[in-house]
Amino acid sequence: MTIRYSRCRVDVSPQSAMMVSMAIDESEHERGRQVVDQARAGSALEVALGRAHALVSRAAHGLLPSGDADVDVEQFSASMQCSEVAHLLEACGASPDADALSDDSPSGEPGELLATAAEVLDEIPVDQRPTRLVSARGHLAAAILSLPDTTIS
Amino acid sequence: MATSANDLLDEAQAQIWALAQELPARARPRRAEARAAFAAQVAAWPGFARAALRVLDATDRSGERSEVRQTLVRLASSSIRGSRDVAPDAHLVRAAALLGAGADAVTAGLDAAVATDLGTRDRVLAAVESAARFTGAYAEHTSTRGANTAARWLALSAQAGGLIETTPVQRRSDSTATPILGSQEAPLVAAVDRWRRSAQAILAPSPQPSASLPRVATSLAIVYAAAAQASDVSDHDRGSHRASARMWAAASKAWPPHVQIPGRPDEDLHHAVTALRAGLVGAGRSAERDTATAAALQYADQLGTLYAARVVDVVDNRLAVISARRLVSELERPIPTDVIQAARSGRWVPLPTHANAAQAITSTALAAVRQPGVLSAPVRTAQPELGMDRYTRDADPLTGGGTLDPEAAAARRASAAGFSRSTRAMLSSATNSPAVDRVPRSGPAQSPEQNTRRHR
Repeated sequence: MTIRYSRCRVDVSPQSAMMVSMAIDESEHERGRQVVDQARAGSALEVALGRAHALVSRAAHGLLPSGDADVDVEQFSASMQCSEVAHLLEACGASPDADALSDDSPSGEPGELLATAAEVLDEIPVDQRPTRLVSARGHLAAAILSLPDTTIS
Repeated sequence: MATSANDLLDEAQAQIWALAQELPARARPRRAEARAAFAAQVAAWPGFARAALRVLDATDRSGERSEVRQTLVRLASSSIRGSRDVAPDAHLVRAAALLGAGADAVTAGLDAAVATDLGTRDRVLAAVESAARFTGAYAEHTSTRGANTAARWLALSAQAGGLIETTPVQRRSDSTATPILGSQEAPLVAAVDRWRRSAQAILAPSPQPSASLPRVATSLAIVYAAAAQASDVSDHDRGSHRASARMWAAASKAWPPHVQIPGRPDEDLHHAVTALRAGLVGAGRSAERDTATAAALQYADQLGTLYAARVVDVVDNRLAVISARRLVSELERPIPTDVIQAARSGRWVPLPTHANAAQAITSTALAAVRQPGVLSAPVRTAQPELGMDRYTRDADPLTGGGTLDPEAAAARRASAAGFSRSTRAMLSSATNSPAVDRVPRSGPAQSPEQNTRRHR
């Protein structure tokens, strides 16, 4: 399964940029380097969380019935579980990413999107993982389990 | 639902056992089936290996140079030839997702002073052992040359099995039994009450709408869907609830991922809806569930009307935002410069009232309120034996009690909730008119800055 990091940037937020600027002004080059590293790590974390959030949100939307179809309670519940995961990811610091939420790639069944989201989250280094990610990751696993096989492969 | 590292690892193992399937007796069909199963498993192995490594890294650093680790690292980083066109095996994908979550749970529950957790490590090794054994078994049947391939998988299985030092009984520790997910043990009627209160709170008019607003529509759909499955409803009511569920599902689907409401999601509604869903959906039926569903149903029409009014206010006042990139694709030329710039930098812009998404959001909400099953269904009185008298209409200031007159009820609720005169008029006409083709548009526009507080 290919994981795309189309928006993987090393841009830093204005706040981080200001921190970097302050550090350099004070001629603390070493400290400045550390701040840049932290900002980059923070940016990568934000990108990963934002991407996972988008994948889970798209899966939630994809599981909702289309047109005049009757509501399948189990599938609708699975969609709600995905929304719950998205909420938990926001609690971890994920911001809804305008580009990632507009992006239709990777296309695929909701189960594939969730599996990709799990892989994206697993890529986050251990020392950068927010504490609340445990809960989000557990709920994500539960959401994947609740889906029928056809939505995964 | 899995609640601890133990549960997650148990379920991962269960998924691996599910890989086993009986192959046909005749050679040719057997080969074809084995080949398909083998290819699907091979496609899933990189993800499974990565997840297994995460748990092993969390539990036992001492074994980093073992052959099993090295093989897993190779598998994790490989793009296995031929696997791109093959859908990965669903069971192995699930097992990987469970192991990944298990890694987090183990890390969170493990005492920092404990250098290794052999029990957990051995459970992952056991999972690798059995998964590799199954993959090897299918490889054996793929062709006459499959034996060599099978031997490599069976070697991995044997290496993993050889490292296991504990018995299954010894593989459970207190640290891995710690729950990581909140339980939904509260009475279902309490969950209904909490849902009603939290939904009412976010539906009240305010300058800053809640980001969780769309979840009200979702929760209404699941309430009606559950009501349609209740054991004590007439065929007429069942059909009516089913239709309402469809309408509210459409209202929920009208919010695409690229349209959001800035601001903080509502924690209380999140917990309430989660508990409501967990209580209303599941195997078997119980008297408590039917009673709670009936109670939720009593509030559904009231909340639905408030939701529609709130949605109209939010859309009319351009308080929702849309991805600029998506908006560009549906705007007519010439596209405003600020929208183009926002699209280039991946930003959100206020959702125009004439955008397709805005029209869909309001029209589906109003259609759901107009849906006959919502407003004209007779009001059911809650069961008093479970203390449900608190849920009767008379206790609620927003409703007048008894059977609702659609038009008057909608206007009364909207008025009581403090919505604008135009919204009240539109809501009233929507509940009375055969169709809503055009939604009146008015209200001051918000600046993009105001609408992008939380969104990047």
